[in-house]
Amino acid sequence: MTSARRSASPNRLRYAAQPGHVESYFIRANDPARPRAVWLKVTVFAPLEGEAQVESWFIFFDESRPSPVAGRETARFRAEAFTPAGGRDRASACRLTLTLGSHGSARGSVRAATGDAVVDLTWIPGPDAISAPLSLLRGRLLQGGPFPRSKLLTPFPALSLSGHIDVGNERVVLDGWPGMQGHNWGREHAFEYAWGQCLFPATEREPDTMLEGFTARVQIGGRTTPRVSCLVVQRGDRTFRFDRLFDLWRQAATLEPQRWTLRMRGTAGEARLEMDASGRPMACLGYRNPDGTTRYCENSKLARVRLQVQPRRGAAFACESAHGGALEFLRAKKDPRFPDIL
Amino acid sequence: MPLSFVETMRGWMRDERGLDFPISFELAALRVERGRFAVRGLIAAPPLTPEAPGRGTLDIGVGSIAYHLEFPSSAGQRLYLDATKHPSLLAPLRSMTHMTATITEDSGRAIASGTMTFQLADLPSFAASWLPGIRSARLALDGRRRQLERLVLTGPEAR
Repeated sequence: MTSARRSASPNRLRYAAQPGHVESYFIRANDPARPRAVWLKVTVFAPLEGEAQVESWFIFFDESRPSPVAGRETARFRAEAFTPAGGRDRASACRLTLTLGSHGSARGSVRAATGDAVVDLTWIPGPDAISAPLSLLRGRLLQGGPFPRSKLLTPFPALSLSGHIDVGNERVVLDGWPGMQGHNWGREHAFEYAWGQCLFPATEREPDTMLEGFTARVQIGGRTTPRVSCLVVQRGDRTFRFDRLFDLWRQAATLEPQRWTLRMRGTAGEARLEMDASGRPMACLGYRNPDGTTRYCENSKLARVRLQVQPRRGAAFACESAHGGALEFLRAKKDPRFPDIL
Repeated sequence: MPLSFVETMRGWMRDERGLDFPISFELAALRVERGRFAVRGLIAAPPLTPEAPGRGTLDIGVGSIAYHLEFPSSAGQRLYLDATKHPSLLAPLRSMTHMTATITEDSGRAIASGTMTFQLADLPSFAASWLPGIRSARLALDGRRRQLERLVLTGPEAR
């Protein structure tokens, strides 16, 4: 990979060997036929004091199991584990390696309660119309400036994943499972958020559709902002952006223990979103901040999703998914519903 | 050449379960007699139907402008949209841009109701569509409607 291409790559490592940094690369894939999903992540964690570390994460969600199968490993950070290979970005932590790109792979293993979870996956791009890299944060100032302190990018919003994962005695075969790859980084985790993403496959009369959005509060100067929200819907070759973060008069969000709703109005029209993981498998992950505090991420990849859009131009449309929604809540306090924190 | 125009209206409806859904239509209206237009175009009311062909009438009377549209649901049922504006000098803008709407089944049972509005940002294209020489909007709409009619007719109803 040439240095020019590397500097432009959405997956290039932002960690510059300075204390006070968190960065992660994650992949998720959902079984289109049954409520099952897999989520993998590689994290770089550089505390304000102490040496930098890497973490590998694995979660397999299966509604037929009593709880998700989850694992996490930690090791020292090594820069060479993030150098490109074969012209593609690479993120490697412990025994898990993500080779990132439109044609990528995830290989390795992560220790879980059921024993080593073994991963051997490859992916190709999803439908063209919804596969273009996505930044929810609009404009260079938000994308690269000091605010917000945590950034998010979706280099590959739509992928098709195949291969297998071995969980305990079960081999789960993935054959064209829809999924996505994300990349987050910053000086700390946000104070609080709900984040969601979902893919809706094309039908005879409707094009492929993708949504991604968040509702978040961040801290500025020791104070916590009001909730601000953002939503992007890509439907065929049309993009509907509701991304004026501080246009608080045109957005309304509710965050319940396992349900997130959003109403957004803007120049694109009006959108209403409901993502609900009630009764669905959910794992709680402890996300360390460089200052030593911890945030708690309640993570489900099997949320029910209902999206309705009244565009400013064009026909109204709606999309539903029975169990394809990736839904995460980041909270400042631990929820007693989750006795085990990964 | 008979009077004609193209109109788009949008809104939200509530079904029998109390769940809201969006609705929109884009209709080409052609005057057939005094006070009556034949309308054909596209209507979307998901989840009842994604964009589908619709046809019906628009009646302009004293104190009311009434739309009656028939369209197919995705399950192949015939559904009807009835909506009425009540122009009033006391509130001319609102009364001409807002209307209550109801969707009924073949049996006459109402399955959803709500409000539809005409957005002022559509006023230039709406006004232009009345001009005798301006047919592009109607032609484009007719093309999309025919395409969808073919698709709908090759669906479950036609099999």
